[in-house]
Amino acid sequence: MVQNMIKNEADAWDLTQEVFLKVWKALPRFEARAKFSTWLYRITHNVVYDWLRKRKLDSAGEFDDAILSEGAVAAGSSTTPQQDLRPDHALENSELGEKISAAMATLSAEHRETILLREVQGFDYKEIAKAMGCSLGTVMSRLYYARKKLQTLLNDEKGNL
Amino acid sequence: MKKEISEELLVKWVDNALTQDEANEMKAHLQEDSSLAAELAEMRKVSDRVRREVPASVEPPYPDFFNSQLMRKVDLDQASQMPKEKAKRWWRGFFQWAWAPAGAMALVLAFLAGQRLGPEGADPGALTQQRADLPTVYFSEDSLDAEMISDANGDLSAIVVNGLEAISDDASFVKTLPAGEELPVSYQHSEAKRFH
Repeated sequence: MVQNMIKNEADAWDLTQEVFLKVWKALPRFEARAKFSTWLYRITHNVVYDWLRKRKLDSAGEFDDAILSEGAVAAGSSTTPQQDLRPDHALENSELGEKISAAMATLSAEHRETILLREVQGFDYKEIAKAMGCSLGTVMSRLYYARKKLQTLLNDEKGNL
Repeated sequence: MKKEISEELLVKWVDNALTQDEANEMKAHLQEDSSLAAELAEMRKVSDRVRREVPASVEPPYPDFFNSQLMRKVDLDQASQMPKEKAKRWWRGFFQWAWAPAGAMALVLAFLAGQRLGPEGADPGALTQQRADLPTVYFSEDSLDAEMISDANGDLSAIVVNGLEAISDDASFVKTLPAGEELPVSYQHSEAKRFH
């Protein structure tokens, strides 16, 4: 999740360790009012957004989009827990994965996170709202516009997916 | 037409998460706008692709190194927390047990302060001032001599006699005369005058 949000591998692993550390420290205060996974992603959300905010401040107020594509982990990469595919399919998937990865990188952090939590992590709408600290209506709006933008971006190159 | 449809309805249609009422409502919208179905179907396709292509999790390139680094951070964090905890415990222990010696110390200080201040106007330091206008004290015995001292204002004065023999610790004073002896007559007279 952090890698998909940050895309800079070294920073992503550092942030992942920070997330684990915060979780370990906050574990005694965890109340089972929310699912553990939601709570875990809430901490991840805070860590990632703190980092993005800091990077934004460091770059004198201009968000550096290069962060998002720098050292990108291609979707469908060898680390993806999937079954082995036929080489031709793997290549096709890899190309498509790269396109999706590039399109995702152009989304805003909020839209990207919403898409990742919904499509990749399989969260339901309420869980997304809790993890991101926003309303259900905001989640719906972000999901709709993120999907619409992805659709536009992925159709731009060849006219279809 | 599409603008009238809520984003929630569109999102739920893509996710196949519509309730029966919402599905009926959506069916009506789709019948009104023929291009809407194709657009939403395309959107669903994009969602499916993202779901399939983007990895949900990635293994660290060197898991052992990652774990050892993480444990080191945990250890460092614990180490940085320990002095605070110790300090907290020390203060708690200090307040719990220090009240007795602190109280004793306060009593000693109060006692010393009382000794130094003394009663108002009885400053022994001031009494040591010798003044030229004070009377001179004479004794018939040559072995004795005296000096008169006074405070700065002349409100308090004292005569210090030097040369008197110290009274021994075992000295006793007889309150009654031995049988058969009487006080001198002159003494008896002076005593009678004093009491009457």
